[in-house]
Amino acid sequence: MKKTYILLLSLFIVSNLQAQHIESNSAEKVPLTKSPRIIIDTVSIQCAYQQRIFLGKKDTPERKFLGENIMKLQIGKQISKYWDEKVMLQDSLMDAYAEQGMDGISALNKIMPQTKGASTIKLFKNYPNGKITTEDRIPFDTYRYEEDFISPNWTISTDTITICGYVCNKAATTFRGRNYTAWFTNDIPLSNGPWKLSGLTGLILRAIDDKQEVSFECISIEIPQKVVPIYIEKNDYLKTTKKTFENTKKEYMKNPAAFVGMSGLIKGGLPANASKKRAYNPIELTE
Amino acid sequence: MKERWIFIVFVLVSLCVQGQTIIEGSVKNEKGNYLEGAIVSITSDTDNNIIGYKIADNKGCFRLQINRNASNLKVTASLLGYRTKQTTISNKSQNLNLVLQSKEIQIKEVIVKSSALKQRGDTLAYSVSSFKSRGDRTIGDILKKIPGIEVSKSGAIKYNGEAINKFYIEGMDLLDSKYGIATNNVPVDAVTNVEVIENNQPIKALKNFIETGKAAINLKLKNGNMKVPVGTIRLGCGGPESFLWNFDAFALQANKKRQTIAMYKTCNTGNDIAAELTEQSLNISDMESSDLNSQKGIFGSETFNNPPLEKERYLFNKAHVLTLNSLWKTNKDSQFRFNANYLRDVRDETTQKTSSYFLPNDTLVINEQSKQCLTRSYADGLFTYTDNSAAHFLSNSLKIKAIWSNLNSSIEGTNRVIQNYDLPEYTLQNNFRFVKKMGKRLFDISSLIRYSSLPQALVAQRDTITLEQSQDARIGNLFTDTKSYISFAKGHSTLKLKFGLETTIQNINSTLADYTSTIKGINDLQSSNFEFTVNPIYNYLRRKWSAQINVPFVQHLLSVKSIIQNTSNNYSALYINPSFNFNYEIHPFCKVRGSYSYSQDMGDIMDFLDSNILTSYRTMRITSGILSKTKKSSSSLSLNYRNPLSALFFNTSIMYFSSTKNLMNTQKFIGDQAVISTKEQNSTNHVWMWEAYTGKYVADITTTFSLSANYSLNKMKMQQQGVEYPVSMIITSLNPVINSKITEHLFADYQAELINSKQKIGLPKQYTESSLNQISQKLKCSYYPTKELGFNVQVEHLYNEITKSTFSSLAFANLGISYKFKQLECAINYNNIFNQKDYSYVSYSGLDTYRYSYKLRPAEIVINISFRY
Repeated sequence: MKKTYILLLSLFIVSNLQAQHIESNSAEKVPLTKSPRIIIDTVSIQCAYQQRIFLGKKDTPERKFLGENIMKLQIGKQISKYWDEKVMLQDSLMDAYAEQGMDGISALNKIMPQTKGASTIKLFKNYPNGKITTEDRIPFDTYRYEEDFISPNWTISTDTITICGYVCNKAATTFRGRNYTAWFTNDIPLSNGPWKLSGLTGLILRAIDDKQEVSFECISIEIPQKVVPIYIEKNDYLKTTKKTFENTKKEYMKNPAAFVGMSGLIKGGLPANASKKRAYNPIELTE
Repeated sequence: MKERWIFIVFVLVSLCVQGQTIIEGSVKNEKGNYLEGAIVSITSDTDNNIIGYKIADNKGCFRLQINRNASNLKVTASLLGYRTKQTTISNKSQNLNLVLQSKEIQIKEVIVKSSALKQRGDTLAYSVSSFKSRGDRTIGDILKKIPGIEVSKSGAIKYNGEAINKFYIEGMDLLDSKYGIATNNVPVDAVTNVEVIENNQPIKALKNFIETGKAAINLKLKNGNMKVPVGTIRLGCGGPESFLWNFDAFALQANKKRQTIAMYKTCNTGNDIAAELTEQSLNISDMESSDLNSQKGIFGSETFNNPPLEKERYLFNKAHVLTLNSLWKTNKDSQFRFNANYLRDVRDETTQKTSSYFLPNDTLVINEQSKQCLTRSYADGLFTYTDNSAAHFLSNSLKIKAIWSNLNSSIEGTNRVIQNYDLPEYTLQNNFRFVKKMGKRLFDISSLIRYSSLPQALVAQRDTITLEQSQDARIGNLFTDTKSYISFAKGHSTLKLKFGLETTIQNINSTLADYTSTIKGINDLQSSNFEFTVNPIYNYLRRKWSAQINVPFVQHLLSVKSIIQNTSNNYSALYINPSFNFNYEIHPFCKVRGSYSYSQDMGDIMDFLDSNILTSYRTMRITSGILSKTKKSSSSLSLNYRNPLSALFFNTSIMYFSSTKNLMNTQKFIGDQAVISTKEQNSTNHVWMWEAYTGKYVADITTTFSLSANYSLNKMKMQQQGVEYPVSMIITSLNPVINSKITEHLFADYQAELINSKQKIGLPKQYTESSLNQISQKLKCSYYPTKELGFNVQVEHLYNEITKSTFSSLAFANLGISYKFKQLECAINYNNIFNQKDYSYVSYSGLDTYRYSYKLRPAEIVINISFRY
C-alpha cells in the first residue's frame, strides 16, 4: 500500500505545473555593457573603399585572391580613422543591444556571423599628432603601435579619370615597398586617402600597386547628417612596436596552430587544417 | 650682420642658377585659427599643371620651393569646409598669409552599392565545396574545418566550445542524440551546405521567448528529394596470422515527407566501432538526468581494464553494428520517428595478473593467468511523436533498451577457476513534455519516468571443489526527475534560483549460494529517496574580474526497509553545500583563478547490503549497514601567463582536496579469499596536486616545444587484515612534446612521458617505500607528396620497470599509405611491424600492487577499398 502511495506521489510531483513569466526566463545572463571609448574627433566626411588583396602578379597561375573588405575612412578635423565597415557595424549593434539590455552571449551570437572575414585593422592617422596609431589583432589579443605619419612623395601627372563622378588626377609613388598609382580629386580638398596613403592635394579615390596585388577603390562618399564621433577604444590592448607586431603576425600566418594550440585557450584539439600555412601578403612590404 | 649678407648672396646665387623661389606662410580661418591640413598648391598661370604643393602642418604653416621660370604663379589654398582661395603672385620668394572663409560642405554624395552585408539572421551557411579537400570522406571531415566547430572521435560536435543542441538533416531531427552516426558516415558529396543555426530553439512555441544560447547543425543535401539513396561501401581484409575483415555499408534516403538512414558495420581489426552508437549530450539537463544516474549494479564495473596503450594494439574484437532510423512527417508540424540500434561486440583478452597484497607479516602474492571473453549485445528502440507548432509543443518518447552482457573468464592460479558474470539490464523510459503559450505566460509540464531492472548473476567454479559458488541479484529502479528555475538580473549581477526534485525507488534482492553454506547471504531491501534542491546562484561580472557564489540547500529523505528483518529506517538531512570561485586579470598577459567548495552527501541503499555478496571468485563484500556520510572540501588556485609577442606560454595550478567519511573500507584475507567490508570509523583522504605547463614556439624552425610537469600526493589510512596503515602515493610525471612542420608537406611530432610512481606504507616504527619508473616515447611523421597520395609512419618505444631490477622494453612501428582516385579510395595499413607479443605494466593501488601482462595484436596488414555512391 505504501509503495503504491509513493509511486502515485512521485508521478504527481513530476508532472508539476510550471507557470512562469517569460521575462524572468530570458534575463538569466549578464546584460551587455557599452565598451568604454575616447572620442578624439568628429567625422566631417566619410568614404568607403573596396580593399582587395591578392598574392602573386596579375595573369600568373600562382595568383591567389586573399580577400575583400569594405573599409570606411572617417575624416575628422585633425584625425582620420580607417577601419572595416563590418567592425563599425558590430560596434553600433553592440550599442543597440546594450541599450535593449540584451545579454552578452546572445549579442555575440547575433553579431559573430556578421563580422566573419572582417579586417581587424584600425588606422588612426595623425593620432597622436604627427603619428599614425595602428590597432590590430592576432588571436586572441589586440595590439597597438605608433609610427611617424609620413606622406609619400608623389609625382603628379596630367592624366585624368572620373571616379564616382569626380574628376581625378593621376599620381605615382613608391611607398613601403610597393609602386602605387593613385587617382585623387581636387574637388574634395582633403589630403587623405585609403590606408596609410595621403599627401595629395585632394582625396585619393583609387590606388593600385603595379603588381595589382593591392587595390583600393572608393565606392561611397557621404557627409554625416548628425554628429558622428571618431573614437578609439579604451579596452585592454598590448602596446608594442610595429616591427614586433609584424614579425608576430607573420609567424602566426605561417603556422596558426602552433600559436593557438600552445596558448592553452582552445581545449579539445584543433581542426586538421589549423597548422596549414595561411597565404599572407601584407600591404606594407618594407619600412 | 655678416650672416645676413652671406644669406642674401646665397639666395641671389641660387635664384640666378636655378630660378628657385621659396614661398612660405600660414593658412588661417576668419577667426584667426590655424588650419591644419589645408592644401596649398602652386600652378603656373598659363596652364593649370601643379608645380608644387604642401599640406599645412599643425601650426597651419607651409613652405614651398619652386623651380620654374615664370613671371607669375597661381596659389590655391583649399580645405574641405572652406571656400577655395586663389591668388596670383609674382614668382619671387615671399611670405604669404592666407585666410580661408568657412562654408558649408557641399560635395556630391556618392553611394555605390556595396556587396557588403546580407542579413542572415541566426543562420550561417557554409558551402561544402569551399571547405572540401581531397582527403575528406565524411561530413565530419568538413565540420572539423569550419571555424568554431570541434568534432570528437565518436562524432560529437561542439560549436564555440559548447555541445550543439540538435543535429538536423534538411531541417528534420532524425537521429536525436545518436547523431554521431551521421557525422561519421554521411558522405561529403551528398551535402551542399552545412548550416550552423545559432541560438537554436527547437521548440517553436518558445522561440523569441527563451534563448537557448546553443547552436544546431543542419545539413542541406544536394538532392533533398532523392529517388536513389546515397552512401558508402567499404570493404577490407587483412592478415596474416588470422583472417581480418571489415565491412561498412551506409545509406541515406531523404525526401520531403520521409527520411531514412540505415547502416551496418562489422570488423575484427581492433577498431572500436561500437563507439558510433554513443549518445551525445544535447543539453545539460540530459546529462544530469540520464548519465549521472546510470544504473549501478552490485558487482561494480566488471569490464576490462584499459592499459595505458592505444586501443588498436590490444583490442581483439568481433563487432557488428546495425542501425535503422526513420522519420515520417504526418503533417506540417507533426512527425513520427523510429530509431532502432543493435550491437553485438565480442572481445577477447588474454592477460597475466600478479596481485601483491601487503599483510602485517608478509606479502600475499597471487598469480593468475586468465582468458576472458566479454560478449555484449545491445538493442534499443525509440518511438517519438512530436507536434511542434508555433502555439504549442507536445512530445512523447518511449524508449526500450536491453543490454545483455556476459563476461566469461577461465583463470589459472592456485586453482583453475571458471567464472561467469551475467549482467543484463532492461530499461523502459517515457519522456513527456507539453508547452503551451498563453499570451505572455507559458504553461510547461514535463515528466520523466524510468523503470529499470538488473537481474545480475555470478557463478564461480573451482576445480578443487565440486560445488559452485553463485551470487544472484535483482535490482529494480524507478527514477523520476524534475527541474525548474527563475532568474533575475541587475547591473553587473545576476541571481538565479534553481529548484529540483529527484525521486528514486529501489529494491535489491540478492542471494549467495556458497559451498560453505555457513555464510549469511541474503539481502532483501527496499528504499525510497527524495532529494529536494533549492539552489541560489549569484554571479558578479566586471571587465577585469568575476565571481560566483553558489549555495544549494539539499533536503534528503531516505527510507530503507529490510524485508527479512521487517525493520524500517528513515534518514533525513538538510545539507548546505556552498561554493565560491573567482577570476581576476592582473595584466592582459596574466590571469589568476581560484575556487573553494564544501559539500556534504549521504549514501543510498547500497550501504545497507549487510549480508555477504560475492563480487568475484575470491572477493566477498559486506557493508556494516550504516549510512555513509561524506564531507568534502576543495580549494584551488591557478595562474596563467601567455605572451604571444614572444610566443611564450606558462601556466601553473595547485589544488588541495580532502574528504572525510564516517566509514572506512577494510580488507581481510582468509587464504586467497578477500573480504571487503566497511567499519564505522572516521577516515580522511588528503590529495595535493600541482601541475605546470610551459610552451615556446620557435619561428625560425616552425617548431613548438612544450613541457608539462605533474605532481600528486595522496595520503590516506587503510585497513588490511585488521591493521591500520597510513599510506601515501606519490606520482610525478614529466611530459615533453615537440611539434614540427618541416615543410608544407612533411610534419613530425614527438612526445615522451616519464612517470615515477611511489608508494609509502607506514609501519609502527618505520615505513616501507617502493618506486617505479615508466618511460614512453612516440614519433609520428606524415608526408603528403601529392594531393592523392599520403604516407604515415609511427614509431613508439615503451620502457616499464616491473621491479627494481627487471623491466620491459618494447618498440612499435606502424606504416600507412593511402591513395585516392575519384570515388574510390584505397588504404594500406601495416601495424605492429616488429610483431611485439605482449605488454607489461605495474600499477599501485593503496596497499596493493598489480602487475599486468597483456597479449597484443600481432603484426597485421589491412587493405581497404571504399566506394562512394
